[in-house]
Amino acid sequence: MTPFALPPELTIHGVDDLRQRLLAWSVTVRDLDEAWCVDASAVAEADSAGVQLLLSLERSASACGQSLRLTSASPALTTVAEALGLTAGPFGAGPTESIA
Amino acid sequence: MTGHDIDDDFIAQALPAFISEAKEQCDGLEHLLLQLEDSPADRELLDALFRCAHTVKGSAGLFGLDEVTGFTHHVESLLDRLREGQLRLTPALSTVLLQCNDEIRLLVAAAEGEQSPDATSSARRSELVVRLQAGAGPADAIETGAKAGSRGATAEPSATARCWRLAVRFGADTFRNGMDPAAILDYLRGLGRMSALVCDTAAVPALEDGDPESCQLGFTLELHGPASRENVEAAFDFVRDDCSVQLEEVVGTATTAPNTNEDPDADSHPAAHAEKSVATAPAKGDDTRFIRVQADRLDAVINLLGELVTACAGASLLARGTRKGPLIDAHQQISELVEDVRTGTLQLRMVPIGETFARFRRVVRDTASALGKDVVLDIVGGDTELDKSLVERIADPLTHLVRNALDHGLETAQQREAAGKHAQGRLTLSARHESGSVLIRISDDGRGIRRDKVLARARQQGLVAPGQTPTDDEVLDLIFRPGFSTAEAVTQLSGRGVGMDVVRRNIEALRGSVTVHSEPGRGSNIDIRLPLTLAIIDGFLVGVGRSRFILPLDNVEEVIESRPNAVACDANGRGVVELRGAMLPVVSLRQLYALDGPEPARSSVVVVQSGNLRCGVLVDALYGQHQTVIKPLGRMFRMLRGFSGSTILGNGEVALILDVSALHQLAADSSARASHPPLLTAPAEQATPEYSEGPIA
Repeated sequence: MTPFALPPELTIHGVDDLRQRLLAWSVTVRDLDEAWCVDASAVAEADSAGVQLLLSLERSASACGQSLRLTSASPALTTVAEALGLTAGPFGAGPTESIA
Repeated sequence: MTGHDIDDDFIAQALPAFISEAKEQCDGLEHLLLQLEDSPADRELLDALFRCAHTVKGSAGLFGLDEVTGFTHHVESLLDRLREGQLRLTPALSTVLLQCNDEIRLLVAAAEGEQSPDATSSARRSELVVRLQAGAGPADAIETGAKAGSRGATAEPSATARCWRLAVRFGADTFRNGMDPAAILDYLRGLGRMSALVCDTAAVPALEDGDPESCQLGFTLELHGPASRENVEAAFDFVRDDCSVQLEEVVGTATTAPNTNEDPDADSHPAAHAEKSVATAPAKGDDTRFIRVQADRLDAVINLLGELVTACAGASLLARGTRKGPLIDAHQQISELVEDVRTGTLQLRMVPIGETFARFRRVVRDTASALGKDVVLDIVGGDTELDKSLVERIADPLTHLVRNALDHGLETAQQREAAGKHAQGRLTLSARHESGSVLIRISDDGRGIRRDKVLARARQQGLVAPGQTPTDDEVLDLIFRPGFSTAEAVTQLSGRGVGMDVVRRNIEALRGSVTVHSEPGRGSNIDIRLPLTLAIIDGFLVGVGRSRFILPLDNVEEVIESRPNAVACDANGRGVVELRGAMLPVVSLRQLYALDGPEPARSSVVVVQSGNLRCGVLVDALYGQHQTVIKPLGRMFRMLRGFSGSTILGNGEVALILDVSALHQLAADSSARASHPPLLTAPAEQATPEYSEGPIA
């Protein structure tokens, strides 16, 4: 299954729109029995609101018995996540990938 | 995202609220400073003190009041050093801070447009700033040099490394307001080494059920470094409005290593830890639970309520006339509800008198030091509540009485020691509730009032006829007489253009009374009795012939039934009865006011009490409790003795409200003057059981 590709701008300005797209996407992946995979390589700008949206996504995934997998998180994203003290879960092992 | 656009209209609207808040903070500052004089190291007081100054500075900044912000900043810096224990609050420093507070007050008043600051005031402020820095020592000078803008890790080089534990919960609007918690955390990292940072994500909703623009993040962390509390708090300045920050200093050896007892737990169960911190987080807006209401709106409601009470009584009366049970019941229920609303509404106006008392700390402090006297002020019963308008209007007479006591009652330390007393004088302001009124007492342990001097002076001024020898109490009462000039009398109750007669008049205008007791050499007590409220009282409705009278229910002690002619009264309606072995002066309203109508077969004596005096009021009939809306008596009726006002009954009739203390005088006159009081021995029978013995109210 193709991972969901996050846009370059993961900030308060786009979270509403992005949430709608993630919701639509999550409907399609919900029935597949595999981890929800999100490609974060394109993220060039991120803020706390963006990170919180990913946390929401993770919560939805675990509600379906799945985990969220964040692949190739860009430095922009990991910097914010680290600033927020989020070093476990999907933000855990840096740019590669990890399982919550 | 906007919200930073400064709207002039908004400022114009919000400014009065700021002014009022700033004034309160200034009062708070003064109050705290004076409290600190007794316990200079009290950390809680110091913190509160700092917060007051910080609030003034913060909101003044918001309104662009640079003068206030700039000056308050210096005060704030000093206060910060005080609470960090780097400085001690000396009396001299306290004086400087009090003066600074006065300056802040002036600046705030200037912002309100009351007066404009002039050159001398700014010179005065610069001088105060210099003295503040002198008081704070060199470190503060460095801090001041570093300027307000760069309050950061560089400030306070003398501070040692400390550890702050923070629990932060950001408000829902944080993102929308353009704030980013990550940026704030980064700012904190600039203040020191951050450890044990845990992001509390428990509140983050699933994708389906949340608004991604609402911030749901919380954090706990520890910060190690030299930052002061103010530095750390400053990080949250921009999100203060919707963010709760708990900040505590971790003391002891745990400052460098994470506390092993708590932190593993916090790391592995962030949610559990967060829950705990949420539970203990004081609602940041504790003070926002108060609603400010304009006093005149409240007054309008109370006026309407007075009308409602009267209308309700009228409706109940009509309902009773129909003899329809359900209608009467319904009206009964309405009356009870109206009574509850009345009680609740009047409660809204009640404020503790403590705030007014606290103002006198400053008066006492300044006046005593100006007079070279050592005086300690005790405040007792500051939580006693009374009507706000009374509190406001009693302040001036109180000030006068307090100044008098300081100026003339209390002696200097040498005089006191010579008289064998403790060198430090003691002035006590106390308040308590007493049978429906509030008793405010100003007592000092000074030299007391010399009755002989007062009497001599009064004779000289022709207030007392040559042959007349007044009793001791009457002599003391002379000081309240309008003509009693005291310029040279020993008591010298001179004051500031206000005589004691004005004090008494002001208090009587509030339906209150003032009396003085004094023991030469031991001190004086001045008792002020005030009604709890000016508007509505619980009355006890009685009838004589076809007239109706109201006695304040709180003054009614008991009711005894008496046989016809059991109370023999003189032509003026004054007599006595025996009540359980003691003589009780009685006033017959029928004779006193020459009321028509045949005497009933049985009559009642209502025993009323005011202060420590009791007397009986002889009436024909008892009608029970009545909600009484007080209407002042018109000018024409001012001469009537014994009435404090009137009220309109439900059927439209007017009833006069009896003034119990004036009745006392009438009754007491009879026992004093009549050489052969019409004594009688018929023991007064106890009335119906519900009225017997104990008080009714």
